[in-house]
Amino acid sequence: MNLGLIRLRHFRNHTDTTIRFAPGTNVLLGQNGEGKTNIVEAVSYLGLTKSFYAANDAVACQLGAESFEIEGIILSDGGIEHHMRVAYSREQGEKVCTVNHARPESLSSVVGRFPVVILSPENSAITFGGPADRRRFMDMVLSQLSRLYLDDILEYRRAIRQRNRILGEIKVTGARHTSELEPWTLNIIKYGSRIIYRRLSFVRDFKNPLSDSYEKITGAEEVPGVSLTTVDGLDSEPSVEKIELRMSEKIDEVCGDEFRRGVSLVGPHRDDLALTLNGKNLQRYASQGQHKTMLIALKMAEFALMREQRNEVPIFILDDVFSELDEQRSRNLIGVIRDCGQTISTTTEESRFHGAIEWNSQNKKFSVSNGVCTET
Amino acid sequence: MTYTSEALQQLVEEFSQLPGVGKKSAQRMALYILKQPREDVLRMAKALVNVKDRIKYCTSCSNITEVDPCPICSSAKRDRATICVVEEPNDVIALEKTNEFRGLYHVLGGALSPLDGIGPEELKVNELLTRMTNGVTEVILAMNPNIEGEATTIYLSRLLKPLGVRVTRIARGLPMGGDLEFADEATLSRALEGRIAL
Ligand SMILES: [Zn+2]
Repeated sequence: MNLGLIRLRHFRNHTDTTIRFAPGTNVLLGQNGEGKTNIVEAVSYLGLTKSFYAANDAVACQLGAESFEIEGIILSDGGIEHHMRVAYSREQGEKVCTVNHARPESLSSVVGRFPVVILSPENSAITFGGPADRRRFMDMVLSQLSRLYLDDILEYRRAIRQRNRILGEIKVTGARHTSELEPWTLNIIKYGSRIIYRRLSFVRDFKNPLSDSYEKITGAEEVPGVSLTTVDGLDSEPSVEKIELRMSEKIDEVCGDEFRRGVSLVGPHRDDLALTLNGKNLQRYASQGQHKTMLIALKMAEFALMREQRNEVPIFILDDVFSELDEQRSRNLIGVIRDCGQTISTTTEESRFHGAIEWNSQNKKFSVSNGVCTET
Repeated sequence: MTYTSEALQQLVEEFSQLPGVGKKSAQRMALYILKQPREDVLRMAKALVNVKDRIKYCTSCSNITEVDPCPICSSAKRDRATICVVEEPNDVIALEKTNEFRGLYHVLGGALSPLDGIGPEELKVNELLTRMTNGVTEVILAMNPNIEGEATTIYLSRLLKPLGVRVTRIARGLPMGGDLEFADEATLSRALEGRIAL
């Protein structure tokens, strides 16, 4: 997959910027606040229909502008050219997306059509944050791998909110409308078990790419580990039916607690992706440097997994990563991205790339200054 | 915002009460009305009042109608042993277009959604149960393909099955993420053929 061209209009500090990317390594150079990250944020809109860090679209509108627009021309690995456009209007408060000039049935149906992997300091919550941050990471990867997974997650979240509303009423009134609770319980079991099933198989597939990636960055200093903390009492490769059964047993066990606390206590909304180094819990024992390396390895593994399981090589975005690493790890990472198809990196330190990349029609660098991007 | 005319301001406020209409769109609509010939505006105003005056709910199926019982419930050509349960009057229109279904309908008036304060009492559930005494042998549940529709399907099938009627649901013609428009007529016809017992 190749992003040949992107055009940003009234997006953050870009009034009208057009960039023609190279098919290999692309580096956006510039000081902080000049608009480098805004460009990769726009790429994230094309891939995920949203920013990779900002929670709302309105903040991405240029100051004084009514709307923003991002267009991209994307060449699939099969050689087919696609046009994609995402536009947001402040007045309507609505985001409109078109693929080849047609409106898709929903925004969520666009996610994953144009796969991207984004590595940014904004992702540090994956290793530093709580279970919710790691669930978000898994969901982001799996949603790009499977449209059905994304549908299941959206339905599940809604079912949990509906069920919690009834549990909340039970908590307050003490009345047990079990006949009204039951449909929602059955729905969270149905969707929840499919989600857990997919997450378990994701973790199995993710192990090897993760340790390979970690080794490429550090040269085998430590061994990373990954596992899913989920509904207990499941064997290593349970079927969806087994998970359904176990979820329903657990819900029966805790129903008294659920009535007392007014929230759903069983299901994938309480999962965690447990990360370890040499068998030790990462959150508790790892240094700042090990956290950073783990984050890079997680994202490289995400890239490797997507490349393997999709028919398209994703675009790899590395936002402001190199300056955070020591010289050696930074060299190792540049060595890795040379084999990753199309990559877009942002950095304040051009020196990191000296001698490592040959600038030609395959690899380009750009300088970004005050919302203007020029090839250098 | 302040307007130079109180009448205009009032109309803008009325329009902005409509679902999905913001202040700015309401203003555009009001200015559009202002530019129309008087007779066109009168016709529109009359149409608004008519829906309130003439339309009532069928005491049997709860669909909207001008005569009670509605033309479908009173038609001699319909199969009275089969009832198709839908969420809204729109769904009846969509299913009628397929020309596949010859039974009667029951319009629930929505789907279960605790978040919106909609429980069984807010829907025409008891009315549906009352109809089960009149020789009904099959109930087809045709809820929307979303989580609220699914919950409603589960809830109703638990109530209906003990009454000895055959309970089926329309199959989803396509997965929710399918690329075709969901409600096109071909899909709905296929979904009706492929109904499955619950
Ligand atoms: Zn009727």
